Amino acid sequence: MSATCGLVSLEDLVAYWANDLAQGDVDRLDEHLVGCAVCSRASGGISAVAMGLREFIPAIVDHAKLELLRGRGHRVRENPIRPGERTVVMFAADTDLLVHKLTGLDLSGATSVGIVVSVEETGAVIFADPSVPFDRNSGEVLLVCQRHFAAFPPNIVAVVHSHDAAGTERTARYAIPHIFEPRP
Amino acid sequence: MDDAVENAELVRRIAARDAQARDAEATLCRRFGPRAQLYGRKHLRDEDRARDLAQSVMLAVLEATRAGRVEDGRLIDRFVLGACRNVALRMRDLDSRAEPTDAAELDVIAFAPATEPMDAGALTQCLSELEPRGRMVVYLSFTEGRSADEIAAELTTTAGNVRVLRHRAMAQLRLCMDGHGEAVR
Repeated sequence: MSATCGLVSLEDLVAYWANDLAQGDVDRLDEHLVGCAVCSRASGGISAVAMGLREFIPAIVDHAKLELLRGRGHRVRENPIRPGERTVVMFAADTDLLVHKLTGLDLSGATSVGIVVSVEETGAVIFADPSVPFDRNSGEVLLVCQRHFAAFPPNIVAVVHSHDAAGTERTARYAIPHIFEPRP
Repeated sequence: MDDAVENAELVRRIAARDAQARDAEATLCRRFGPRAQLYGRKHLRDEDRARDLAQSVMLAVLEATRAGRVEDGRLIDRFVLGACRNVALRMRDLDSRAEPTDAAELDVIAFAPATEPMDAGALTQCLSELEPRGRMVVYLSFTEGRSADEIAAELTTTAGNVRVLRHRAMAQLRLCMDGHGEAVR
């Protein structure tokens, strides 16, 4: 991350973009940033990440969040898949979000659910989170594939680990090869 | 801080409309255009509107400078800030896009954008490399728009600790986005 000139700190710049400063401090920073090339550059770097985060859609969502995304106009396709299955899926050109519904899990007694997504051929971990949202009633974990995921290797494996209060771990594995249809 | 003497010289050349005026205008736009755009991004929270604001601000600054209305060129940054505030206020009042300025109307070299577009794939990967608590804090702060106090309550910690986690996670993300992350291939 670019340094500042020293008159403001990087902490202040992060707080500025997180809307976590009093109005007087925002005014003072505005004044400094317009007149300081070094801090303006640093601020631009932080703002780029902040803007990216603002648009960010998590890889795992719950049903409420999925409905919110539909409501915002995202074109959603669902791909229900059962443990042990290996089904090739097409990420169609007219789709914004391809939601892999990882089903067949008994999550009724689960206290936590984690997921590891890796490359099928190499085992390289793309994404891992020890605590993700899950639906206790439907026994589903929703993995949201997004168009920019085309940058990752297409053949992925998702392994879901659930734990219950007694410490018992259950594991389910889903192999999901992708074909990304290019947009015209 | 900028070199005030250098800024004053740019303003003087533009006002004099001499042979170097066009180069001076281009330099002034390259210097202050991206900063005006950042101001717009912060205060209007919309990239298109931020670009419109920057165009309007730089047009106002150039017109004033050409007309000799900038009395002290060493303080041109204050003039730019004032223009940013006024244009942002007007845009918010109208609650619509400001009249976009034709780039040709500026008659200067267009300035570079404040920052390059964010690579969403790289951001996803960099986020996955954060420790879970830091990832949660930046997600709640920037994606969900929660305050430090709200996040502290959710994570049963203090607002001060949230700010520390947030700053460290953002520094790590920025480093990763700058190319320090390893591509998964």
